[in-house]
Amino acid sequence: MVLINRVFSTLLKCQQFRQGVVSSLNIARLSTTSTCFSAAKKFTDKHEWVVIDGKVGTVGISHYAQDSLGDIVYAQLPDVGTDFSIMDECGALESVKAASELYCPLSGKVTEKNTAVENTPALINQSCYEKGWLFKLELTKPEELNGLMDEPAYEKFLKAQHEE
Amino acid sequence: MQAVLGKVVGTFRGVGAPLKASGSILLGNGSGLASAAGSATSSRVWHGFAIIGTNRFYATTRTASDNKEPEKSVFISQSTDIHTNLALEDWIYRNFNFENHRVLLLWRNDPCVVIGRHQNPWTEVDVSLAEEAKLPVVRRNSGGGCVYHDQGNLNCTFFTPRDGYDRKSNLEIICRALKRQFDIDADVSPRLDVNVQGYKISGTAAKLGKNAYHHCTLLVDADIKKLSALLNPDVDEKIESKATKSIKSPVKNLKSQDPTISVDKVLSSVGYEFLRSDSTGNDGGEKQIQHQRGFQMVNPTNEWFPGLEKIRSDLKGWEWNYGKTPDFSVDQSYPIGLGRANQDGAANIDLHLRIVKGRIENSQLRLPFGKEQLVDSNTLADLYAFINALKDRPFRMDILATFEGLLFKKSTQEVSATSSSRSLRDIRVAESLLIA
Repeated sequence: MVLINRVFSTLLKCQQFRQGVVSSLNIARLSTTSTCFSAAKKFTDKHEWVVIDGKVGTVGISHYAQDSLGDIVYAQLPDVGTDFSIMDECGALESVKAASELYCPLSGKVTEKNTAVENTPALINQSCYEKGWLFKLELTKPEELNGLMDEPAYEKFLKAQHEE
Repeated sequence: MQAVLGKVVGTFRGVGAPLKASGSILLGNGSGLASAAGSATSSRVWHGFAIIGTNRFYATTRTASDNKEPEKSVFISQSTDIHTNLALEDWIYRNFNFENHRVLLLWRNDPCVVIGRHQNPWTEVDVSLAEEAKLPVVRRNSGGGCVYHDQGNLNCTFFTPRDGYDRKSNLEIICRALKRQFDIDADVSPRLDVNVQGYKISGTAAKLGKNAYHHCTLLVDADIKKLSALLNPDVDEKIESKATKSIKSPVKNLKSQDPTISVDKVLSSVGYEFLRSDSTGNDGGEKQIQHQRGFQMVNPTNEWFPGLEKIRSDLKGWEWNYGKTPDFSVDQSYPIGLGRANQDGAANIDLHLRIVKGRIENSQLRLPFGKEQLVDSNTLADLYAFINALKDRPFRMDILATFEGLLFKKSTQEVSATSSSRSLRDIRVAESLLIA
């Protein structure tokens, strides 16, 4: 019961937030990620994120990653039906003459790719956590999720990297 | 296998004694590379500026605790085969640990065309012309645009850990080398090209993953006419594609600045400048060289680099070079009915091809409504038979020529002679040319 209440209050917070006036896009993005999805979103040290819904994970790259890549001009996404093991190379993003490998954050089979991003790679820069998602995969080893960072851990990781 | 040790020690200040990649110096013994990255047996420490063969090719000679500043090596590939050199580059990228060791690989190739990872060879290269001249067209792993290579072009690959990747500082090393040794003023543009007097002399591209590399070309004395002929296919309006497009820029050779320059001299001076810079790319002067490992000749064979041959054969295959082309469409209109008596003006027959993973997934013919009689029924039957047989076939530009030949009852040779497919000897180009 306590749990249900907690979930409910989180949902309520999201709702309230959405109803609130959004004054700045950046603030909106930060707040959305930290209040609504923090429980679900997990990160790799290669800056991919994954959100799990049942057996299916949705994968994208983090705000930090899209920002450091610059304008993305081409998205090479994995084909539907391909099997990957955790941290396999599964595609690439091209920006300013650099091809950056994508790593599959969890083992699984690709069930869908975001064709909107293939047609308009700038979506990754504009909306990396929502419209700019890359692909979905059906997890074959859901327990691997425990090895990924949650949002506060990822932020800490970024901070530590920056200080290095 | 017997170790073959080469030993060339010199003052090597400047370009007085350019290194010859002539095949006499080999490194290591048969087990050297197989022992692979991480076998940090610190057996020897090399000081000074020497090329020394070692029985542990890249055993770490100092550990991180000894000295935080990474050491640097210049590797010179002894191959001039594009597939071998790209395979070597990939092998080093995948197998080395660059935390305490920064590597500059210098290499050159026999004539070839190299396209970016996400490019369409047919929009970037005159593929028919390249085939005719027997020049390989090769897709590389890094992003960016299309370039022409020959022995007058030097390629420089800077390997770092991913977080040490800094293209601008690498290019500044090259600019300093050109200034110090040849008194050539070069600058780095915002697009990360190296320019001399407004002309591009270098194209840059990079790959980022677990490690990173940045590589660039340096036009020293390349065949600019061939370059221009190969990299200007006349197909832009026909092909609709999301692939990365090359940005065309006027180019020139360094030789136009200094008639005495050669690829050997540029190779020596860039290597020297790399060794006298620290890991962030700043010039550390002569004393910095004492800290480095120096020049090493590299013989890229499967024996020294286990697995190299597999990478090489993948890089050579159709699946990689053409099959990885981003999906695209070709739309070509052919005017029909012109000049015929009793016909009501001209009309177009349209050919549409959809190419997925380099193969024709869909082909369509569109006839002008109400003017079908402009094409006789036998010809029409031939055209339909032809396009229906295209399904799943690898795309080639001469499919368009064949189609045109069927439509106008001409041989493919006749069509080729009048279309954009050209031969090298017929090309006339201006002094300043365009490449990626």
